[in-house]
Amino acid sequence: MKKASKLKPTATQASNRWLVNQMKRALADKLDPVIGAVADYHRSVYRSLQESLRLLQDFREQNERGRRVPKKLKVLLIEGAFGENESISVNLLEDALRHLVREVVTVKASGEWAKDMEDQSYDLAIVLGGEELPSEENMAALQATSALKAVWLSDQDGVTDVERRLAQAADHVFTQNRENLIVYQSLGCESCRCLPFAADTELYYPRQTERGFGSDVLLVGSLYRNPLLGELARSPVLANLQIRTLGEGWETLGDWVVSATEAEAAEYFNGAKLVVNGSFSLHRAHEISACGAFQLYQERGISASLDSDTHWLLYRSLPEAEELIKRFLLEPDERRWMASRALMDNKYHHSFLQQGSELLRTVFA
Amino acid sequence: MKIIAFLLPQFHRIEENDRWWGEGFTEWTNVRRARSLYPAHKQPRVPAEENYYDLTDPAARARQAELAREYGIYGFCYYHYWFAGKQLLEKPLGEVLRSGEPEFPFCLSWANEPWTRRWDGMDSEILMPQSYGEEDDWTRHFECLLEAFRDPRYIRVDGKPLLSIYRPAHIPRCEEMLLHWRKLAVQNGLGGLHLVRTLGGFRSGTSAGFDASVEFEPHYTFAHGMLQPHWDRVRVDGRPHLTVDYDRVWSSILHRSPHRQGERIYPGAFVNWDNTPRKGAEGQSTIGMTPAKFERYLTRQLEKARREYGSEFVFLNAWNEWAEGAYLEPDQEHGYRCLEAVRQALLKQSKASPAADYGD
Repeated sequence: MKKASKLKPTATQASNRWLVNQMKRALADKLDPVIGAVADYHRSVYRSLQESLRLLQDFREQNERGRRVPKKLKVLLIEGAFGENESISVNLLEDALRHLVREVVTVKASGEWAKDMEDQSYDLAIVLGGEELPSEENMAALQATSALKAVWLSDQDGVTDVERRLAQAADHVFTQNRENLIVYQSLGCESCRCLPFAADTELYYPRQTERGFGSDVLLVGSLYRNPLLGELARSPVLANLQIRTLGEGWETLGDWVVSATEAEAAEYFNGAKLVVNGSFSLHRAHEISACGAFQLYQERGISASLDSDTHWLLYRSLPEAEELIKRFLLEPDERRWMASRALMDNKYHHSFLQQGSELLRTVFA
Repeated sequence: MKIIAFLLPQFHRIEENDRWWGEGFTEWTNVRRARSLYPAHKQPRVPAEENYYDLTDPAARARQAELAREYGIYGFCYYHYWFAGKQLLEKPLGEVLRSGEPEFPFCLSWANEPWTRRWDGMDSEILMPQSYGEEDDWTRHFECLLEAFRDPRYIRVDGKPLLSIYRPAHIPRCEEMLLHWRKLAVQNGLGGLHLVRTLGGFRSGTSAGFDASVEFEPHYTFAHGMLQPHWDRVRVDGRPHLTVDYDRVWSSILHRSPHRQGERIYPGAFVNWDNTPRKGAEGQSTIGMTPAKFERYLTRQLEKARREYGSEFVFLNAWNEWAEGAYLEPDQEHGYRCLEAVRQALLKQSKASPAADYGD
């Protein structure tokens, strides 16, 4: 067969080729965007599918976590240092958690537990306190662990650098003070809530006290942070009454003020007919209730309404406090009834068993 | 821990009761004629061996003391009735003082309220009005009590005879009267008096002049201390009859804060409550009492008295308030189980706190 010879294109053929190229170009101009859009669409669908699969996986993992039976959990409790006014009985919390989970291992924040954290498969690590940062090695182990991490801080009066550092290392932050929530949220903490420590009922319980601890009105709180307390101390409503105080700054009012020390707090709570709690500390409020004492509690700022069932009488201003004091000093049985309700609520709603349960419920929700 | 049980002396005839309630009237009259008002209501209560005793009989008084001692009751608090010079139901105590028997501690509670047809101490249908006179009457009253105060069996606190007053707010010049009595006590070599006001269902009044308060149960809880819903109504002959949950009353007692007005408080306890023998459907009755529950609650109250009240006494309502359902004496239904409950409660409480010593 004769090979077809490669011939030079004719003018017509060249023209046709040009037309075809033009058509191709035109088609490409028209179709490429469409094809590109379709391709983009397909790519985005693919990405969405991938994202959905990831979400589904997260959801399943969360569900599995939520389905984790508390009684099967292993918890590492890291006991840090506490501020003078915010110390708790870690034993009571440990005991309570033991009712709720399978195993609780307690270590000191200052101890060497990094290796233990790596070796043991904890479900949850809880750092308590906030006055002391664990060592860098411990912190690294904490951050590296696959266990959930919660910090339960003793941060009643503002947020320290140590507390910020701890909060940033945690999955869940529990604070003593609602006003600190905004600080933790600004650090990127997605899960933070107010969860006051329960009262140490081995120290704070109802009992009789010596006469020297008695008072008509016990004013509790820092005069520096709460000037309203100073105004109340000088109020004519409190004239001729036996007044005692507990907190910082009372010496500035003069020699007539008799101040209690923190070590004697429980005795003074038990000896007071009426306690005015201007400390803004829910933990302190629970300690007062745990002694069976009648309490007025000062609300402030963003702390809106307290949880229900505390049975504390709330005040926000000097006139409100004066009115409540005037009224209730005349009604011993009504005071007693309310103090009894608060004592009961403290026992059944604000013990370490309840607080521990709340913590676990938040973490494993 | 020392349990003092209130003792009602109205188990013998007196002329006044014969006149007001019919010949032969005693507390047993009400007890015998009580009837059951609803299916779970157990009336009439019948003493074991149908022992409808007469308290003017020394054997009856001896038997009471013997039982009380055997089961751990520390002493009796006899109700004393003084109406500006006139006494009622004074014979049993009078004979206790004169005879020196039984050898068993006692003290007195002045049940100062008018006697009424409604058994309520209020101001209508009054049979015997309650008034208080002035200093001369106070002196006469003290002299009447002096024999009891001097009796070696009389219960003392810090060496001073304990006298309880049921309704101090009813006494117009109460603080003055108490001060008057304290002076007379010192003048008569008693060293003073330990005066206790009762916290019950009536207005408490001021604590001025008193050394302590005693919680009279279940009245104090009914009036001031119920922490949970507890009352219910049962239709009886077309009228509502109030019932109260026995366990809820005790729960309120046991959850109560010990703090009130800074005073020393002697906590109370009660066996049961049912005053329908006196008041019919207009009274109240509890639902759910058992001797086992009474034991459990009393045990906890004894521990609460020690730990939270710092009290050496618990005042129990009552040894023999049969017409109010508040009695420890054996009956046909429970036998001696309420007394045994007291013994067991004291035993458990002493084991739980072996170092407790309430002598001071």
